[in-house]
Amino acid sequence: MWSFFFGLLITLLTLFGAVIIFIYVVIPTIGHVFTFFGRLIRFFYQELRDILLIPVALFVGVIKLLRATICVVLARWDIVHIEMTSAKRRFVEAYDRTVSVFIDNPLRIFGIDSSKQATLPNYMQQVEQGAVGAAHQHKKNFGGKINTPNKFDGYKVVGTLPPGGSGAKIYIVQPINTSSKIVIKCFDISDGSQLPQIVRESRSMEAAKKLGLIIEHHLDNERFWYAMPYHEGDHLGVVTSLLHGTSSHLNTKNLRTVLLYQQTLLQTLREYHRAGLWHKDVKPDNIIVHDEKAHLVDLGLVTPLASAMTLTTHGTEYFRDSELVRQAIRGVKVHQVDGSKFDVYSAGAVLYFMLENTFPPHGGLSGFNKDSPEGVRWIVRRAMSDYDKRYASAEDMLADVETILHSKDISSVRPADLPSMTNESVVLDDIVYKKSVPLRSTPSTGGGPFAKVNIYKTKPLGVVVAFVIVGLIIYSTTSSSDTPLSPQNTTANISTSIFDHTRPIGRVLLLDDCAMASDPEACHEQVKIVTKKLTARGWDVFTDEQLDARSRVWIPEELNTTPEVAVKLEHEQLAAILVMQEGENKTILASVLEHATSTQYVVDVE
Amino acid sequence: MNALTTTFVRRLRQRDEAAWFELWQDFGPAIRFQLSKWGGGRIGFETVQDLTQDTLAALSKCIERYDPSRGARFSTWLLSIAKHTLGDELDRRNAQKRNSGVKPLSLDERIDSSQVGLEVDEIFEQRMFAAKICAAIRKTEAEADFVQFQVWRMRALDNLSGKEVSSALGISEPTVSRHMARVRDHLKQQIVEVVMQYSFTPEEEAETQRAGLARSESEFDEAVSDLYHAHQIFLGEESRGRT
Repeated sequence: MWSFFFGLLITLLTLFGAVIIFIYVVIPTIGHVFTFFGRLIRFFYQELRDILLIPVALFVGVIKLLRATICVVLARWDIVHIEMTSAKRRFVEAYDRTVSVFIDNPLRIFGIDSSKQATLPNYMQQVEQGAVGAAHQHKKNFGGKINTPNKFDGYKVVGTLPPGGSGAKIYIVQPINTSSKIVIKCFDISDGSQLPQIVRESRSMEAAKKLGLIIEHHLDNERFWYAMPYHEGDHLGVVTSLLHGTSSHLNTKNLRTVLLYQQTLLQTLREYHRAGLWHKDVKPDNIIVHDEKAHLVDLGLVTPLASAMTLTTHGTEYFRDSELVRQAIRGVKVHQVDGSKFDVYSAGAVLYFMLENTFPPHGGLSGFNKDSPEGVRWIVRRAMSDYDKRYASAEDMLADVETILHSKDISSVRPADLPSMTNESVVLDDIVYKKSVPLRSTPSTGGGPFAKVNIYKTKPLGVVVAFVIVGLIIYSTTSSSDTPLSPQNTTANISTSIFDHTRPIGRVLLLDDCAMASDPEACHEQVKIVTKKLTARGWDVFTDEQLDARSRVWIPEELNTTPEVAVKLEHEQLAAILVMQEGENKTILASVLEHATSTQYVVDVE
Repeated sequence: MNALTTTFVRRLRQRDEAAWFELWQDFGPAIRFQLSKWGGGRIGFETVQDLTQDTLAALSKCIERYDPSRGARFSTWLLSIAKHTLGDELDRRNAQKRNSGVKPLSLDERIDSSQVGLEVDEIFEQRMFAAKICAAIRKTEAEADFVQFQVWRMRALDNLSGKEVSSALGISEPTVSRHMARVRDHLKQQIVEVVMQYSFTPEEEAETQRAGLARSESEFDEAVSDLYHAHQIFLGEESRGRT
């Protein structure tokens, strides 16, 4: 009996042991064998793929280089840069594949992944990629809310808004521990945002913050974002369409509503202009109606009125004054025109839009097809008239609007009764609302120099071996960029002083960019001191208004020396261009653009 | 060609961007509309914009080979270039589709003054002429006093009576008449200049007379008003079609 039970126990234990061994030894061993064979197959596949693609990448790279050379001969500098970038990318690809053929692919047979992707275990990568992919798929399908924790410090993302023309992503967020909503506009270089766009948007941040238009802004090497109040509501285009309905004209109540929107719009523009800013893109799509007020949004084109940059034609057709285009074509600088007058024109176009439920197709000559009071039409015409004849300021236009708004019968106000005709001074209404901007203790960051972002990622291991193999190719590629027409661009040099910089042999054009500084006067003074010291060290620094205007057209925003810069310097018979602008902590950021190099210095005049 | 035309053509040849913008502003809508019509839905708005630019750019190049003895009008010439620009684009597309490697004719090869037929759409001609008149009105507005121009605008274009204008602006009726006369004279001169600038043939130069612009003052105002309103309707249609 006992021996039976003992035998049974032994049998069971043996079976159990066999099962355990099968599960933990045999199956994994089979698994490893299959994995090994799988890796082996993958190895052959990857080797074959890489070996085939290396010559392809090299061939394409060489073709791109040749095309770049042809473009240099044809002086198509814009294309040269693109071709050179493509060529570099191809050579880097060839380099990566060569490393893979000799090092990465063989190591992967033994489960060693030397590439950057292997910093996480495979299953973790899969989980992470799956989650990110699912989130993006969800967003793509439903345009819905994605929780991206820690994307913005102190905020939780609760939704998104359609992106505008700038390519930035727009998020609706909630500050942690509150229920209020805020909008964050984010430019991420990894998402394809362009550096010039970021620079453009970041220019007016401090002024906009003082104005309460933005809550905070941050800038680092990868992205730039700013938070601003969120106005929940429809844009003016939708609201205007609802006001008009199927009627042939606006009734008195709706007309008053329209004028109230115009009043708040003009009050906002007045604040912008007083703060030395210019919105530049006033149009119904950028006006959100909320709490019966018109809120002007989108700071994408906001420009300091005193900016020394060249005027651009950015803006929206039908709401942009054609005079702006003419001046931009002439190469006029922003501070040489009154930018606020272009906002006044746009405000007139917006009022026309509200009266007619369509945009003005013929600029200031657009006719009125719907019934509206002559006094209101007069305001539109005055705002959209020729640059020299329109309202001198948003405030003047506001005075006319408020005169009509305060009358008992809107239709009875004649153009002759408007302050712009009678030349009477009027007391304007107080702003009936204040923006409730939640204050943030976090100091905003930004405005400093951008570090150059390296977009060429190479694999960390096998550098030496791979270098031996492809070194000659890389050397020949990089050495070709040392020719005079392809200058080597150096990066910021903040450790040494500009006063130790080798004196450029020849004339140095000074571009003073202090107009955009937080304290332009102080900045100008510092620039003068630096210039004086450089002159004492033998620099031939000079300023020339015409040359200044001309050079700003071709100087790259990143202040790098490009082949075009080298040629232009040669053409203008300049040894260098010295750009001085405000740096961090009231320092001066000086950029020296020479034929072959560009160098940046932070100069502390103190 | 008259002196005004040759000056303008010289500016175009010298790649004066302001002259180019003027051309774009005045005649861009008419060309865009015509190209869209011919395209019959095969070309999108962006392509129409590009083709319009190509047409205007080609104008400044082709002008050098213009043969006045053929008697082609400015509007005909422009329309002909637009048509060939579109044809060039469609040929290119077809060649790409067939992948035949057959190179389509270049714009320069296509445009030859001897080939310019007179198959001009009458409506297009009217639009071109109205565009010239509106360009003259715009120039007058830029040069005239704001209130004086508005007086003329309210009377001539908005069809308000002298009494209504006088009451709205708080000025006497004789002042309204004086302002009207001054702006009208200015406009007449501008119309002559603009029409001359964009005219290649004596027939085009005489268009103002045929349109009733050389008659009495009231008929002049009426004729300008008709052309202005026709152009407004067209611009409205054209811009709505784009959006």
